[in-house]
Amino acid sequence: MKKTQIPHFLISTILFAAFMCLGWADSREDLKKAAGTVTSVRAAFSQEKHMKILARPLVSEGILFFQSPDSLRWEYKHPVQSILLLHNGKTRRFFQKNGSMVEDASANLQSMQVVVQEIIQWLNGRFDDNPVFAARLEPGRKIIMTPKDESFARLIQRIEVLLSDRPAVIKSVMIFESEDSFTKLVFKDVILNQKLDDVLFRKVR
Amino acid sequence: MKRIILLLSALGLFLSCSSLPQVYPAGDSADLQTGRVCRGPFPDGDWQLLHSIEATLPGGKKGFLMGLTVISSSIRTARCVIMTLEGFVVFDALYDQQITVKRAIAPFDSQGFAEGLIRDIQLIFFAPEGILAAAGNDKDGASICRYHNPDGWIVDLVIHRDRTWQIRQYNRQYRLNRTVSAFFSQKDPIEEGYAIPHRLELTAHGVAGYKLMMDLVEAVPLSP
Repeated sequence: MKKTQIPHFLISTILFAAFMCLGWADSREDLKKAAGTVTSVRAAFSQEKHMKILARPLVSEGILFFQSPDSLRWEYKHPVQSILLLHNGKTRRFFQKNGSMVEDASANLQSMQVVVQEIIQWLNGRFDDNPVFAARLEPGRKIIMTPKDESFARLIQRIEVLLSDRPAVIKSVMIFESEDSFTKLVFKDVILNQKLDDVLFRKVR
Repeated sequence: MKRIILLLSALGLFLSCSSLPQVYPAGDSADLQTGRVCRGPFPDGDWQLLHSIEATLPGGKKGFLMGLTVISSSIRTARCVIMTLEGFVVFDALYDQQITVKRAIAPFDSQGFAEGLIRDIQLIFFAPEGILAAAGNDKDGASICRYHNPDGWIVDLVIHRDRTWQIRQYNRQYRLNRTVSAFFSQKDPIEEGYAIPHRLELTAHGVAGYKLMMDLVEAVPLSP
């Protein structure tokens, strides 16, 4: 992985969390089986950024849509509006600016397309195929992912995925960048296998 | 084509290498020098500031990021964190009389980037260093306070009648180097005390110039 691709890969780890509506499970086989039943996901999320220097965490809220096999809309509603669209192998990103959505042309979106291929593997519950993270399933429906590569571990120490007691639903994700900094994502109002209009993944409005 | 660009650049440099704007005496010049105006519209105390940033880079490319700045005006220290909107830290540095980079991911990993960013933060959030050389009005009637920095650079602090303000930084050749403009939303309490601007626009002039448009997301006062 090129060094310049790393930020986008970091972004993708969050996307992975949203994507990875893997099932309630006691084993990896169960995860794969539950993942196979998911055709679409709609969920609200809150994101808390914790850093030692912060007086209080930075909180964002949004909504995500996923349509199997590889369409995603990851939308922040508050405090800053932005939308990431993944559809037909293409990635686009938009930010709210003076009342309208402006495309972020600077992002290295090509690397995101590479990442999408990894996400698809996760969607299929194939943790073991991930070349970047080693995953282990722990009691309490928790998956711990740690980087295989030491240099990558300087960027992300570990990811903790907590599965819901509701089959095929994820409860929260904690992404630890360092001892002083982590991001917590909490998902709610998850709706699985609802029919989604594909315009959601092509247009911002 | 290259020659035309070079000529235009040279012309731009020539035009920008002019004298400093005139400072006209004002009836309340003494008040300006001793009063709050020339102390500047800079945040007092310790603050945690979060901005969404639109960066316009040379060539017109735009990028969007989040900027977290924790400043202490009394001891002139700053912690600067740049994040993606998703919260991933791509740059983290501390300025405490010297720069300590704690985390830097390409393309934010050059020493030049860190130094430039800290200089910009100092210009935006800290009162100018050096002596107050002149105070008065500019040709439009705005209050102007001119500081001569120890390094020979000059900073003009311009306060408009509507309380919006501008910082203009000139190099030793009086060439405009940076402009910072502050804007307030209607709900900002700008009449009393210091108000954090709703929007800050920093323009770096010159051939490799860039522009940062910083919209305030939140401002948290920190206890000392």
